[in-house]
Amino acid sequence: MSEENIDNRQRPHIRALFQDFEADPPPQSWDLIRKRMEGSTWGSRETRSLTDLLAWFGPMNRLYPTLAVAGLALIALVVWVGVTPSHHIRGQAVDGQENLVRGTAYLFRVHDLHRPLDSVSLYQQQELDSAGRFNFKTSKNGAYLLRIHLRPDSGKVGQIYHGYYDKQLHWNNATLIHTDSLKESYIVKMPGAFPR
Amino acid sequence: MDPDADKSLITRCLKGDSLAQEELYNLYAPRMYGVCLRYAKQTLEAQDILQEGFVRVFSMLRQFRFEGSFEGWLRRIFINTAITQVAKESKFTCTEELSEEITSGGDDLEGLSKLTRQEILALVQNLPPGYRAVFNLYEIEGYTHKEIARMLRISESTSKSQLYAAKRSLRVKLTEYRDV
Repeated sequence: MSEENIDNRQRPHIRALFQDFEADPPPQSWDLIRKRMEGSTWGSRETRSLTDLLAWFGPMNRLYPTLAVAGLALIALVVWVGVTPSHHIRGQAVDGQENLVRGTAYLFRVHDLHRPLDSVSLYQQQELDSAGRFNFKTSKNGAYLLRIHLRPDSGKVGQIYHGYYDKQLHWNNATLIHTDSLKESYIVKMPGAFPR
Repeated sequence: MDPDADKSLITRCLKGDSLAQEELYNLYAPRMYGVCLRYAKQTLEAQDILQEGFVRVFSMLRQFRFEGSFEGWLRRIFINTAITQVAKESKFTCTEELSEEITSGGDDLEGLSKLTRQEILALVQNLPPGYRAVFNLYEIEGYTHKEIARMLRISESTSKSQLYAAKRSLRVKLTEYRDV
């Protein structure tokens, strides 16, 4: 035992007196402590849930596997976002110098390029804006068919751009767009066509 | 205290049982208040330390690993709370660095053994905060100067100087007390 410790134990009388020293705390103390705990974050359900969660992760045999799984999930998410294509098919519907504003743009997916008209399925649609513009966003590579259908109040009733044939879409006049991973944006020109 | 009873009580507290919390308070508050009174100058200060200490205890209860005495764990929290509280009001610095020869001098407080607990408490409470803290930690808790230096973030020699000064101050007060 060091000299310091010997000195430290020279007065067992004092230590013995105070080791078990008890005094009655003021009667209101517990109420004040309880109120402080209720007011502090310790008492709130949200924080209790958080502390419970942290306690669950306390043992290392739970923490490390959970972190590993979370890390893998994060990596998978980053890879998925990285490889998932994002395309914008946008353009403007015009007839000569006139913007076509009263109509709907339809985007079809083409599943079989050898039989496009029989194999299309409606993918997205949107109203033309005040300048006749449309903007589709798609994450799938492939072939698309774009069609503009004008409303009856457009003055060009029943006309379908850019086929220009009443109530009928002719494939050789359609705009076919092929999307791939290399491009993000496809500008579609819808030139004024001539009715046949 | 019975460790099994403590464990059961702590487990209930951890589940948010407010009755268990009050039970734990009732069980340990008198002894912890005794600790607070030793480190505080006044009763009001001791009450503040008691409240702060219990708030800390309940917020840190999950950290108790049931590996040692629960009362010992509580006492350490209250001592740390008291030190923090007292440190807010005073710096644990000593204006005089005393020589090793002086600070390692013999016991000169035999008179204390003739006093009652309340009388000693009154004398200790009247010490300046720094002296009081070191006296409590060394003489009553049994910490070494090295441990005290770490706890109070002072040098070992400052801890020794504070203790020496505390004893000298107590001796003066003891003389005055006897004269009265």
